[in-house]
Amino acid sequence: MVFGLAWNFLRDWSTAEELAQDVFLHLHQKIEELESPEHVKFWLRRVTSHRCIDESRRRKLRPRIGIYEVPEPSSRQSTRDPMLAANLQRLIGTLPPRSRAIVLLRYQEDLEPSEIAAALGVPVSTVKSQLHRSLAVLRGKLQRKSQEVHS
Amino acid sequence: MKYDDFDLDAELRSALRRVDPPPNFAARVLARTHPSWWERSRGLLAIAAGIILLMSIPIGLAEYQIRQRQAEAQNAKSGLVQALRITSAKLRHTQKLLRKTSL
Repeated sequence: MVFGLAWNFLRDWSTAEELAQDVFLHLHQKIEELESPEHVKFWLRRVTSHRCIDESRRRKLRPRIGIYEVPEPSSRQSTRDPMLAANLQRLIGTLPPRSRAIVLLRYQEDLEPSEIAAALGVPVSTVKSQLHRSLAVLRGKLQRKSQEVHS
Repeated sequence: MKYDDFDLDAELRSALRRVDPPPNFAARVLARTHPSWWERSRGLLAIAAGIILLMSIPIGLAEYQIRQRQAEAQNAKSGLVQALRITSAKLRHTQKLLRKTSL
């Protein structure tokens, strides 16, 4: 979950690993303050999301996928269009950091808007509106790309 | 590539599937939770080096002052010897003059 979030957010293998390690080190220091496995999970999502947003804002990272940075296929290999998936990953990387975090928590972690709001410390209405706007942006950009290719 | 009719939710779930961390990730995290002797002692060593440096400044200063005084004493001694030589020469000269006048 932690490394996956960092990787899908930053698209930089070494930065994602470093960030994930830092999150676990922070967890190691805070473990006694966390009350249950659910609390740990919530804490990990919250801290990882915030660190990803901070890192992205700090370094103004754009998605970079080098040939050596493409991860090995995971056990849950998708049967869907790989080109569409790659386009979606690239377009998600162009979203503003907080919107990107919301999309990742919604579709990678399968969280409800209320859970995303709690993890990011923003109102549920903000999560819903940013998610709605991000999906519209992604859909629009994909359709434009499709039309460009076919015209 | 025709994206006019697709289930965006399902495609996003597929595109954003979880990625496994690199091999030995857990081992690397564990290694960082147990810092090496050098990492643990680094702070103490830095403090010790600072104390040694702070102590060496007055010692060095005292050493410098001693050497400075020794050099000044050496100069004064050389000056005195020179002055005594001049005085001795003048005395000899005066003695010679006295002897000549007494003769």
